[in-house]
Amino acid sequence: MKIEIEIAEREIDSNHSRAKAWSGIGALVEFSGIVRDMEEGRQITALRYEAYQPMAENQMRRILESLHALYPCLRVKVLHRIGVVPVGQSAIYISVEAEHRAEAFALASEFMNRIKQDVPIWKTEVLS
Amino acid sequence: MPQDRSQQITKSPPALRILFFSTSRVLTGKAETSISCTGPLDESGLWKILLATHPQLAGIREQIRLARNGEFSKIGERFEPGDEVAVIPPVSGG
Repeated sequence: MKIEIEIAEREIDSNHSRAKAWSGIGALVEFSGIVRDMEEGRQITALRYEAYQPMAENQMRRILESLHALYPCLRVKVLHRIGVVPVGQSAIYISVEAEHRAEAFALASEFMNRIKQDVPIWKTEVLS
Repeated sequence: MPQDRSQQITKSPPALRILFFSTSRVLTGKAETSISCTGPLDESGLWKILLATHPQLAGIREQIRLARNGEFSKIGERFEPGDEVAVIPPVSGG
């Protein structure tokens, strides 16, 4: 499985992430995590993300490799933004390409669960 | 915001480089420090030093995981001089 991971302090542009020509792909699952305007009942203007970057990238890769054993996919791209992410913008984007939809959905969903457990990235609220 | 870690590194003998993130950084007021040691420390020994120098961490110790050189520490982990140790509060990415 081809894995691409980027953690960067810039706006996520998911439009350029899709493979242009990949034989065997029958499913493309994309997910964007958007910053909501309310966090635990409070109005916010943004979330500020910080990462222990080398470890975060390694952990993401390790998680994806372990999930690939369960849900074989062909290509995964993960973009995680750090720094201040305003309400309405994407903090994380993931695209999963696979032969069939079931493993693509499963890998994307499970990865999002695992990232909130084992990847050293933190967010704090920026209040209005 | 994270402070400039490069300005806080001391040029002392072999030491553990300690990185603080999120709430641990807020509580200690620093992004990084170093702990002098002449030999390996286990996690208990390291925590004893950390809490002596940064007692503010006591309240969140049970929530913290340590990482050694970019890997979560395991049972029986030994922290050697020159290692990079990250203090990792509960994560919240995504």
